[in-house]
Amino acid sequence: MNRAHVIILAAAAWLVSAPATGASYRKSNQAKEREQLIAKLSSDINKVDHSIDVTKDLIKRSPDAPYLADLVFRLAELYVERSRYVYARLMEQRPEGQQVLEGEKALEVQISKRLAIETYERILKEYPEFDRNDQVRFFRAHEYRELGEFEEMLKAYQELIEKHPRSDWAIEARLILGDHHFDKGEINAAEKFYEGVLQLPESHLHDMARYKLGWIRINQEKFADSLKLFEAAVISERKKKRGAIGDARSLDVKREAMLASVWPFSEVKKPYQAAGYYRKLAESKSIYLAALKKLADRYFVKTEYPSSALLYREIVPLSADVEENIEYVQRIYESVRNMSKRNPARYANAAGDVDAIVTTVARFQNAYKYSDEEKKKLRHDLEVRARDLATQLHAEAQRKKDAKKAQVAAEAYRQYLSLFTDAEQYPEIQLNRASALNEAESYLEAGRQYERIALKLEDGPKRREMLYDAIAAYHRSLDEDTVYRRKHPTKPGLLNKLELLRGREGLKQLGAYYVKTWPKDKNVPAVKFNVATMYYQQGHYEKASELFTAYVEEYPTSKDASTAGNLALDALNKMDDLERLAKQAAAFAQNTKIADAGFRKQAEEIAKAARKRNVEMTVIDTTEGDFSERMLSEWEKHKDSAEGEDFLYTAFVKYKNEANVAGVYDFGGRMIGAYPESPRLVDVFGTMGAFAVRAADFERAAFMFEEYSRRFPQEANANQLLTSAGSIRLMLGEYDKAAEAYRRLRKGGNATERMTAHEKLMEVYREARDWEALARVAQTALQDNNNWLGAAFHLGLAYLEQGKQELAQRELARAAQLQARTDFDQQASGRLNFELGRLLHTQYDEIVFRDVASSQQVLSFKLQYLEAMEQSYIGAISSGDGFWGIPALHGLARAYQEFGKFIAGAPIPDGMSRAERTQYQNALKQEGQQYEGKARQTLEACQQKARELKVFNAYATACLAGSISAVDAATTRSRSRLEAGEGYKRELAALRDQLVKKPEATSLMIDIARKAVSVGDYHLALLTLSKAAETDPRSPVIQNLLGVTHWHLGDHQSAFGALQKASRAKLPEGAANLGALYQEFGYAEEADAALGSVEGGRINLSSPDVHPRVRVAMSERGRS
Amino acid sequence: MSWRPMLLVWLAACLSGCGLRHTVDRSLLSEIAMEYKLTLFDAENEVSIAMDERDHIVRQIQELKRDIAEAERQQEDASADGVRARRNNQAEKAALADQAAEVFGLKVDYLEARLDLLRTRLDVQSTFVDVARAKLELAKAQLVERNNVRGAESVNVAKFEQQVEDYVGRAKKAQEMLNRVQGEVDEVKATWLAAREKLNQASGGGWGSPWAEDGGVWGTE
Repeated sequence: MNRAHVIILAAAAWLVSAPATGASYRKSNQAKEREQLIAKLSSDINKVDHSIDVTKDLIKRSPDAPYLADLVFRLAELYVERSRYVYARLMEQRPEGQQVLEGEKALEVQISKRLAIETYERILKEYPEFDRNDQVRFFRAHEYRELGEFEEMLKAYQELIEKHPRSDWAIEARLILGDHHFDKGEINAAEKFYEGVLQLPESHLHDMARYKLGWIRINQEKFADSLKLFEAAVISERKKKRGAIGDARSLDVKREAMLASVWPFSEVKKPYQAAGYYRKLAESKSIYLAALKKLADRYFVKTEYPSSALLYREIVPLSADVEENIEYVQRIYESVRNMSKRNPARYANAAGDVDAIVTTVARFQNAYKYSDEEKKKLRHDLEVRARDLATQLHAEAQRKKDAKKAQVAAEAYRQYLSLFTDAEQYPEIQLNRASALNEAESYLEAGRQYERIALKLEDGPKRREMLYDAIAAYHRSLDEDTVYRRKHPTKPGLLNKLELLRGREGLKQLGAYYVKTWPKDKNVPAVKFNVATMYYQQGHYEKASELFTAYVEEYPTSKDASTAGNLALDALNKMDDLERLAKQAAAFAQNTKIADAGFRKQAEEIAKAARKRNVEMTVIDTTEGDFSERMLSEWEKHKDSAEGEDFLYTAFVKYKNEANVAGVYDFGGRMIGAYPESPRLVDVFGTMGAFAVRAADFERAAFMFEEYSRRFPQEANANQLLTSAGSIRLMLGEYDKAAEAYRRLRKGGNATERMTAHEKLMEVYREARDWEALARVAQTALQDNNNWLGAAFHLGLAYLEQGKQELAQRELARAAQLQARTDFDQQASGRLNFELGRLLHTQYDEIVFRDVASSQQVLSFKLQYLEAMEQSYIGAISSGDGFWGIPALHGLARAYQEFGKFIAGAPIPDGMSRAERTQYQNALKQEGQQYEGKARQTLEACQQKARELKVFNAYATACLAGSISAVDAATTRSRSRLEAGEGYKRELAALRDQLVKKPEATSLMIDIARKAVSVGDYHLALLTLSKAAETDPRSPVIQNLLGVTHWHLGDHQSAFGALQKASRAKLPEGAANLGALYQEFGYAEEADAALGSVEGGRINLSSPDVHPRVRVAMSERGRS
Repeated sequence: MSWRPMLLVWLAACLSGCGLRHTVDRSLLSEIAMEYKLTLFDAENEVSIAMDERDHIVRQIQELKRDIAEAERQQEDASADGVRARRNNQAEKAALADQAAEVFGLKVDYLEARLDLLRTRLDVQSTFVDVARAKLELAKAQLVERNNVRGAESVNVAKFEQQVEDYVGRAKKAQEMLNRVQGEVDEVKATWLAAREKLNQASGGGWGSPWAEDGGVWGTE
């Protein structure tokens, strides 16, 4: 029944609201339909009448039935139903234009209702316990309401509420009563009933009660309560119970409550809360939009423009209604324009607003129901508004230098440009956008915008300007990114990969075009620099290097030249192209046009370092077997450049570190030959010399040291090495070369070095018995220091040996008066007295008796000489230097002997008798015998002292042999010039190679020494063994060989010292050699003892460890 | 160029019979403890390095092909510029554009010569790969011999050493030939650069400038 009722009402409503326009067909159709409806209603009335009859009959026939009340209730409902059908039919049958029923027609309806009321009252009376009496009362009240009998209605509803307070029907009754009072403006009465509903358990009518109560609160200006009630009505669960009777049934309470809430919301909450608030409440987009629209309109009406704009902005993107949206975007614009000029956010939403305008216009353009004229007009109007919004914001951003606003303005421009492509101001807005992007520091986008503008222009100043601006913007964008990345290396940059690529490629392409088109433009250098930078940043180092190099060559005085130069070099470095890096750096260093001297200096350093690294890398890349060959090949390639030297030197250093003698000599030699001025020769000569020493290749070592000092005299160790060279030469017996070295030292050295040079030179010439040279050297030394004992002695010695006795005597005598200050002086002073004695001895020997008359005078003269000579010899003896003490003793013995003979042979004065003559002769003989006796005693002392001191020279031998004759002790020491075969040289080289690698290996030194002794190369042996003895001074083998070598060289005293050590260590060869030495010098007992301790079979007489004299000594011993 | 076929023929002759003559069966190594096999890693690494280098050359070839296509496009653009300039009675500009087209033509020549060189380098690199492989086999042979595993008697280290020497000799010769031909490519490059410099001078630093070299096509599309 209810459903039918709704349909009828809906149909009626449709009929009423149908537009009048619409053709006659529809009209006739309506009439027909109406007839059909009336017929159907008539049929329904008949059916209901029949049902009433049937029900009445049933009631009559069932007086005691328990469902009788139900039947009566059914009857009442049938009356109600009938009244409605009748009402409907009457309404359909009324004439057109008549709105209400009058007179009799209304009466028919009222009769049915009255019957119904009577029937309901019968039930209440006859069946007071009927369980549906609440419903009966509700229906009865309702019928009163239908009849317009409101007083009865109020009583009936009130009775229902009293009798059935918690019944659902009582809830609805309260609602109806509330509405009744509400409609009459009796707010307090209405409020009581609505609140009564809400106090009951939740029902389908509660939302309505809340809704109504919400309005009451608005009237009471209790907006917060009102909003709560509306909100509660919206969010409460929907009840699926039947709807209420009457208007409440056709009302979507929740939607209405939502819309009604707009009022209190605007009073209680903030506009910006609206979107979130209603989005949460609304069940659908349409309800949400309806609420927002209502609210926005309310704000707009209230001239709260920021709030209305805020909500319209929310609505436009969601709304599908183009027409409405046009209104809304205009309202947005008006809101913005009407906002206070002081409002800082006035144009803050320009981008979104322009977007809204653009989107709306675009949709409007496609709407079929508008004419082209309308569209054109609207497009124009909105273009003006969009442009105004964007430019106003941009102007504000410029005024305030606000980058964020500029960014929004740029976005607004972008929106504008996306639609209004035909606008007259389009190019201007393009430029504005580029400018805004620049101001917003969105340089990449700015660059792209400038580029887009330039693309549409012809070549000319405007295009050039745009392109340059684009290039500058791209550059700035990339630069900022680079700076950021450098500062935050672990974070992503400001630009993503695509943006980086866009920026770089953009700059490269535009730059290339710029340079190509306007090569003489003032900005070209900057453009070129930036283009090159792009290649560098993209890792295209080959191209980057080419461009930066070209930049430096083209703009050598530019402030960026040094940066460009550095980047050019760095690009080559990044490519690991060290060879080109070295060349380019050297080219920069030599380019005098480059203004930045610091950069050129730096380039020079880089060139050096690159060359070095290039060589090092070549070394690393070269296999061991190919190393030498590769280095030489690289050297050949770069012979004329510093790089060539680097290759040789690197190879040299490698071999030096590996102690590879051949490699060091090979590459060192090449270095010396190819780069004689190279400062690296300091290392080369020093190293080669040191290697030569280590390899016992002393001649080469001396050469290297000499060359070193000759080429690098300023080096701190130059004179030290020269001294070493002289010493080596001296030990090698190369006196000329030794002298040359010392002469150079004397010339270039300091005072101490000069003194050493003097000493060594004197030693050299003394050993070489070059008396003339010795005299010159000694004289030179005396010029430096006239009180130098050693020099004076050597000058005296030189004179003496030259036969310049007077000079000799003068110098020796002067020397004898001087103080010994050094070891050299000390050594000299021992010999000095002996030599002086020897000189006097020569003169003494020349004093002979001539005649009787002068005999006394001669005797006295000779005696004076004897005394002087005695004094000198005694001086030598008491000097403690046994080597010269023994000759002095021997000389003294000889002098006494001679003096004895001299006296004995004195002429006898004339006029003496025979007896007197005999007596005189006896007296002389006696006197002579005394001296001869003294001579024998001295000789014995000499023998004793020789044995004691073990002196090995001719004087000692003479003393030991009891010989008092003059001794020729002159010996010349010089290196024997041997002619060794190739085999010896090869063996020596092999041993030296090993020795360099194991410089402490004494066994190798011993091997070298033995080979040297075998071929008579005693000086080499001596030097090698001296080196070995430094390493292992206790080795008997080394000492033995040293002794043998000294012996070969004629230094018997040194030989004894070494052999004695070897013998004491029980080395058979040592004992044998010592024995033979003893035997050679006349120490018979010692020789017996030493040789006796050696069994013949235990030593190899052919060994270089055994002196050839051993064989002789052994055989002599065997014979004896 | 004349040298590449020569080299190819030579390489083909040398490598006839393809593959290493002497190899060590991996099964011989199975009984050798891992710590002794460490010596093989270096040799295996060498093979990987040589092969990586070969791949690198392949990539360079691909890049170079793109460069050639780009240069050809630039040549076409320059020619089109010339035609347009003539149509607009800009004789000077037309002459410059023609000159630019020629220069790009020379650039194409140079890039093609480089492409040829790279292809040859690829062939030569293959010989280096063979050397590395031969060394790996030698290392395996030495390992087998040193550990005297079952089957070691069949491995003759001297033959492996000889094999390495043969391949090294071959690679050296190939490298020498390559070095010689590098000079020829340099000559072609020099010709192109000289022409480019002339163009650079004629255009006053525009056309022919190294800056305009790789990006002169902006605005043409």
